[in-house]
Order: sequence, then structure tokens, then C-alpha cells
Amino acid sequence: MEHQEDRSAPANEAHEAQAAQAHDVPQLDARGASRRRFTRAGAGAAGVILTLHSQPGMATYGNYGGICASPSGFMSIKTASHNPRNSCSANHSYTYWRDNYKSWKSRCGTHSTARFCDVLTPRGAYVRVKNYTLLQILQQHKDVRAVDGSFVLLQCVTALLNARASERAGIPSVLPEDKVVAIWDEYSLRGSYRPSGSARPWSGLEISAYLQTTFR
Amino acid sequence: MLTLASLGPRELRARLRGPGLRLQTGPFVTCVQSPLALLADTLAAMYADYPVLEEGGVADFHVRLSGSNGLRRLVRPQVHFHYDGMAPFQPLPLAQAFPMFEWAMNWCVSSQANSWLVIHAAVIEKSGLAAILPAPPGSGKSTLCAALVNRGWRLLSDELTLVRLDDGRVDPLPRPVSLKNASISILRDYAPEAAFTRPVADTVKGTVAHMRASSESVARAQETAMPAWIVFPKWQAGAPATLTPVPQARAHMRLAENAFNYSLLGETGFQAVARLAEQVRTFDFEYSVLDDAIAVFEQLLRERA
Amino acid sequence: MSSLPIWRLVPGQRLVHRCHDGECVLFNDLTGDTHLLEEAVVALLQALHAAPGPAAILAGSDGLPEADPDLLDELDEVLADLAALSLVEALPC
Repeated sequence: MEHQEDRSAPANEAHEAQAAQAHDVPQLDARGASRRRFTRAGAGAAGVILTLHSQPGMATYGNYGGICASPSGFMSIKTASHNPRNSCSANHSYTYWRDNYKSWKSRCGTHSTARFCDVLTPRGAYVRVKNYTLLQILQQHKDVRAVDGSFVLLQCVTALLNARASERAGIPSVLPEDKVVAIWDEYSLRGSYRPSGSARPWSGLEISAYLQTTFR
Repeated sequence: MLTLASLGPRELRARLRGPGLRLQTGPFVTCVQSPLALLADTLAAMYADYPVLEEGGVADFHVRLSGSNGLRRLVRPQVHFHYDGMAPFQPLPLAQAFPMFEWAMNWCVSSQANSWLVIHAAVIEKSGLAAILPAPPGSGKSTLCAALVNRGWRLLSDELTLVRLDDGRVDPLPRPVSLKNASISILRDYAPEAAFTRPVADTVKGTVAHMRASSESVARAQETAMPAWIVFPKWQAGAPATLTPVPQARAHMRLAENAFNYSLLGETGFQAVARLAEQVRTFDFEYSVLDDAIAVFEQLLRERA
Repeated sequence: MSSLPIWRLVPGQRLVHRCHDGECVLFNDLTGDTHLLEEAVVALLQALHAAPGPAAILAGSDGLPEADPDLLDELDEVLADLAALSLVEALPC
């Protein structure tokens, strides 16, 4: 693609579908006529060259000159993404991920059928729901609600999807995946989480509230 | 029509410290409040020709730039930007008050102006035709834009291209052109008669200075233009000035990526970009010598005539 | 997975698109995404818009008398990717 080198940071996951060259899959049938219909662009989808993901929430905070202005201050983006639309965040609330589960694979690299135990360690009462899928958690299946009264698992799963979406989009994340896991691990072991520099540990509800602030 | 210059320094400061200076830039009126003398002086220099409106009129944006309180004023004093009670940016050193003002003005438009498709791009005009120059920071877009407007092209905007949703024409938003690092001295040599702010060092973009928009561009700020070209510039050392056509569907995607509110506008955004991609010729543009680059733009104009 | 899924356009997709020189941009009514697609993919979507069908029929829809297995594989892959983008869906059998 002639403008490949313009992309100093990928705008979204479909950059994987772009390649320096689209190469044809040669297919000749017995009659010698080409039956190829779709060009495979690199390792990605045949025929689907590129997708620009909708991020309407990000219109509120523009990237100005490498500065992402958001309510939590500004992040100076060193890897100069030229994409003002989603240079700030790939984050969404749990309802968004719940309703757009079909987009998980392309945005996060995660199937909506992935299980809780595949991504986070179930402990204590949460062991009862270890095989529930991430989507079921977001859908607030009644068994999940029974053990997740403070919604920490719900918001951790959301934060995880956000972290993965940011990574795939090449955007610095407010809360990368390892931090989400660390929060979950401490909470699931102790029933609380103590951020560094904090005088006292946070309760489940406080953790949930905090996680939601990172979704903007 | 009242201009900022006609206020005089005392009235300017009084308005800034008090009810606010109502400054017109392109289609927008911004109510600016600030006690900072540094900002008042720079506004006087850079916005002398701009219309100011009387108190009590409706403003599109309210921008407040304040200094630090208490002891902080003595030790590394800062400038704070407030918008509608929010502080969207972290404070910056006081010396960066004018760059912060410019960034704040851009932020207001890029986040609010949804009657237009807002593209992160410079846009210039000649003979009624507009060339839109989207580009990532550091590609030389502002240098190229600053050069073109000093060689007969009219500045419509150096950062935010406003494409009207109803008819696809560009509304001007002429404001000071921001320059970084090496391009500051390049432009000083290229346009010795232009007016520049004193460079401000150590910003997140490096050393930054602003070049005043010409009086003509400010005077013609209500004169729209029809987009004719989209040019993605890339400065490349030693490169001859070369245009490479970009196919229309690809142009659509690249424009959309560079539009602040493409997603927000939904299908309207899609149609606005599709119309734009259809009506213009789109190119990638490599160059190294400014005069060669100008010549290419003149050639594009001749071909169109 | 059933052996012959019937594919259809996801309800609500109007296929708002523009094509030029073999490539198309398409607005996704459901997700708000914009896709850059090969013209052949838009033709496929338009065929589905006209009538849902299995991949084998879609392959035959451009007049090829036999379903080429390689072509069917490609079609299956394209349809799966279009499903991931919420453009098409397989009807339960």
C-alpha cells in the first residue's frame, strides 16, 4: 500500500490486515481461468482490507499535537499517532462490550466465548462461576451476580477488554492488562485492593468505581 | 467593526481580567478570560486584526487561563486552562501561556464544532480553490502551510479544516500558524517580513513559536472555498517534490482517520468524507525544498484552470 | 457448526457504500465502523441483500457452473470475517 509508512501508530486492529503488498493467491482451475476472487492482504482477511472502528466518545477529547486531553489530565503521546479520533482511548463501558460482543475478536483479539478462568484466576466464591464466559459476566448472569455483589469482576472484565483494545490499537492505556490482573488478584485474595500511596485499602465498590473512571 | 488593536492595551487587559474578551476567529466567538500579562501582550501582537465583540453577546466557547495561586506563583509558576469548569489539560509552565492558549482554542473547536466535519489538517486557498493538507505531527505540514501562505496562498487554517456538512465547502478559521523547532528558523528566513512570537522552549512539542496570520487572511475569514485537492505532505531530506495519486477509497479512509468527529457524525460523517474524496484529487506529496513544493501547488492550480 | 450455514445480511445493514476502481468504502449501520473492502466483497454483500443463501449458492451466483472448493474455502473465510464485523450472520439451521 502506497501510504503504509504514514502510519506511525496503528489506528486499530485492522492494521494487521494491511501489508506492504497485497499478494494474490494463485488459483487456476482445469480450464486455466483465474478463479481468484478475493485478494489476501497479508495475513489478514481476504477482501476486507481495512476497518476504521467507530469511537464516537473520543470526539469529546481531541488529540492536539500529540497531547490527548482527557478528564484525567493529559497523556503526551510519544508514538505520534496521526489519528486524532482514537488517539486518546479505545475504552468503553461494560454495556458497550456486552452489546458489541461480535467486535471483540477484531478489537481485542478475544472471543466472547472466552471463559473467566481463561483470563483471570477465580478464587473464593468466584470459583463457582469459573467456567462462565466473559460475555455471560458482562450480561450479569444471575449466578455471577450472586457472587459479584460489588461488580468488581464485571468491571475487571471490562477493564481487561479495554486494555486489550488499546493495545491492539497502539494507544497507551490508562490501565494496561497487567494492572487489571494485579487489581483482580489482590481483590480476589484479600477482598480489597490497596493502591500504592494510598493510606487505606479500597473496598469492592470503591474498586468498581475507580475502574469505571478509567473507561473514558 | 471593532478590532483587538483598536481596544488599546488598557481596555484589552480590563476585558481579559474582567468580563472576558470576546474574540472572533472564523465562525467562532471565544470569551477569553485571563489575568496573565504575558497572554495579554501576545494576544495584542498576534490577534491585532481580529474582530472583538461587545460584552453580553453569545460566545461559542469560554476559555479561562489562570496563573498559580499563593507560593506557587513564585516557584515555577504555571498556567492553568479551564473550560466550563473543567481542566482538560494539566497545567503548564507560565512561559507556555500563549501556546497553551492556542492549544486550548484548537481543543474547543476539535471537540465541539460538530456542524462541520473537522479534519486535523492545514487548508489554504487560491482562486477560490482549497488545498487540504492532513498530516501527522512532524511531517512538515505546518512548515509547508506557512511557506505557502507567504507565497500568495490564503491561510484558511493551519490545524483545523472545517468542512461544511451541507455543501462541502471549507469555512476559514485563520489563526496564528504554529511552528516547531527547526521550522521556526526556516520560516524566519523564508518569510522575513512575517511576525513571529518569541520561541517558547521545552513544550511537549519541543520549541514552539507562532507566526501571525496575515491581515488579508483575517479580513477574508468569512470567504469560503471549495476543496479541490487533498495533499498528504511528507518532508523527506533530499526528496524531489513528487505527487503520487491516492485512490479514492483509500483517500476516504485516510481522511476519516484524520477527522476528529468522523465517528461522532455517524453516517453523516461517512457521506461528508465520501463527497470530499469524490470531488478532490488526492495525493501523497514528498518534498524537501520549499520553493519546489510551492511550484507543485502552482502547477496543480494551473491544471485546474 | 452446521455443514451448510445459510448466510444473510445482518438486519439493519443498508450497505451504504461508495466504490471506485475496484475498492469500496462501506458504512456499517450497526457498529458505526467504516470498512475498506474489495468490490467483490460488496458484490457478495449485495447478493446476500437480495437473498440469504449458503456459500455454495453464493459462489454459483456469478454464473460459475461448479462450486470450486478453493473458492468455497475463501468464501467461508470472507463470510466469517464479515460476520466478525457484524455485516453478515449465519442463520441457525
